[in-house]
Amino acid sequence: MSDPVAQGVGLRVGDAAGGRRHSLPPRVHRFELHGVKLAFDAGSGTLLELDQAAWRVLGDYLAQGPEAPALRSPMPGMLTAAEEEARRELDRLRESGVLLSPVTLPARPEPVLKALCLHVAHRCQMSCSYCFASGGDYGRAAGSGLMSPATARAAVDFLLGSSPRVGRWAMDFFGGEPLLNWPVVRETILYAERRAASLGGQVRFTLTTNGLALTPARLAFLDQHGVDLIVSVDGRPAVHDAVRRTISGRPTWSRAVRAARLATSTRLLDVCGGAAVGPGGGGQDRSGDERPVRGARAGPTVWIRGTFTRRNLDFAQDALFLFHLGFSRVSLEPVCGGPPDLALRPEDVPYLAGQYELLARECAANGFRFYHFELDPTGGPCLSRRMAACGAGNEYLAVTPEGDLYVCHQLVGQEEFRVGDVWHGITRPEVGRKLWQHDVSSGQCADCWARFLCGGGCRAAAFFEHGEVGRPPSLECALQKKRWECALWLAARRRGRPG
Amino acid sequence: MRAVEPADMANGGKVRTSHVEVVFSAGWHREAWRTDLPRECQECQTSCQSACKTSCTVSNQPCPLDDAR
Repeated sequence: MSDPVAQGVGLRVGDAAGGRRHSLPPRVHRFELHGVKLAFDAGSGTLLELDQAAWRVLGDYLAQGPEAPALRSPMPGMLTAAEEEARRELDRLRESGVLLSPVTLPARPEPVLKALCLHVAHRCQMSCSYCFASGGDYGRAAGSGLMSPATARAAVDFLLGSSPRVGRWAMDFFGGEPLLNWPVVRETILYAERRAASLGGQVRFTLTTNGLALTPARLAFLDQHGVDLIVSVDGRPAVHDAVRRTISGRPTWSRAVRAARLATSTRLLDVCGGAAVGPGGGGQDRSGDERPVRGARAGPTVWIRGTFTRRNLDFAQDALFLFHLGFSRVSLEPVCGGPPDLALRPEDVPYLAGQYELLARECAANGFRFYHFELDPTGGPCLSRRMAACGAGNEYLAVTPEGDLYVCHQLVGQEEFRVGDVWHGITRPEVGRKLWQHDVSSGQCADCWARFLCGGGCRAAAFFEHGEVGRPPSLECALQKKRWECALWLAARRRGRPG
Repeated sequence: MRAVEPADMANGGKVRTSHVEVVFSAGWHREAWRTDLPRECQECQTSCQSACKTSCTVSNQPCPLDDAR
């Protein structure tokens, strides 16, 4: 490991050797959560925990504005002895480049397609009240709604043919409900594995399901081929069944949880608390130590993923309910749009922020893993890959059952975001180029402390809120910042712990 | 009280002084100057955040850059 301080000293904006675009000013976010005082440096990606003296000194400095040259004592005698010590420590960190750090943005490479979201079924057994897919068909209701084997093979050929040198590709089976087209899921996995192997590479698969059609035999196949699973459960039975019902109106909570338990039964690392155990009889305690238990195999993951709406603003209770059922990896997403009685409103943000704070405290105490708190700042993407969000429209596309290509799964059916089809490839490259231009180097994101954490946020959410993709979605932006605060706080709590 | 020294940062990035603790430092400010990206990263030329992934989907491992930090 190289010496970061030594590397940081003496660097100046403008020294970059090639690939330089421009620099962004220093930005520090100073905040307090659960009695812990923290400061996050957006330029270097550094998190500091401060005592009262350092908190006050840094606050005074930041109040002077970003142009203040150094953490100098304003006048001799103005600071206490402790504050003067803190000032010198903070100034040392500033000099070493990890605090109040400007950053020169690296050039972003030309995008290469490497991931597809295959909508193998625009049909669903369920009719969820908030479904952005309009019950599974995205408002299109074309043909059978099931992807044919030929279309699926063409999608694989399109992906691998678009980026043969990548060597590692990703495919997500999505819908509607993808298990309603199980033969195509199965055949596509086998076909993609063969094609990728012929190029010396491999494909990583994910399948997002409501679980109703998940069987032990299907799970065994998915396990064998390393398919990551996302199973949809919204939390407490009453919350789930209020919005997630079958087309005929029957509740689904019991069946969904049964499927989630089935999925976790073969994926030992995702089970905690002793409520469920893997085939080896192992489990995982609540100490926060996420190391594999003896005899467990590393393998595909499963996340329990739900949605919260205005009907369950106390969504932390739903996450905790799922954790206490034995699921250690849980994600709950704010509803994307939805009817007026379900859609979140700006005035809900303060209450929702409190829910995230509550959830963070429970994660720290019990070792739960909430998807949006999994920060991994020193092990995640490099800076050039943090400058933009998901790569939609360029590195990632969605495929409809008929083979049409859209920039992302949430924008399927929005004609202006259709970019081609799997047989003819990209016929409207200008759509992707427009999306690629939006990164955190300009606009309001350039001045935001969370710019390299969210990459500018979800373009689909921006489109649904503003009618354009260039502005960050305001409600999502507010919630994301709170989630990052909680994630940073958790990082401070978990430091030094094993695993 | 003692000042933060380079050796402190090399110790897993954990620094404790009298008033400030460095919980972690990702070192993003240094990446703009990097010219020694691993070959696999140069060839990859893709975004690790595609398809909502948070780690390198090329290697399915943490980004190789981390070893160079």
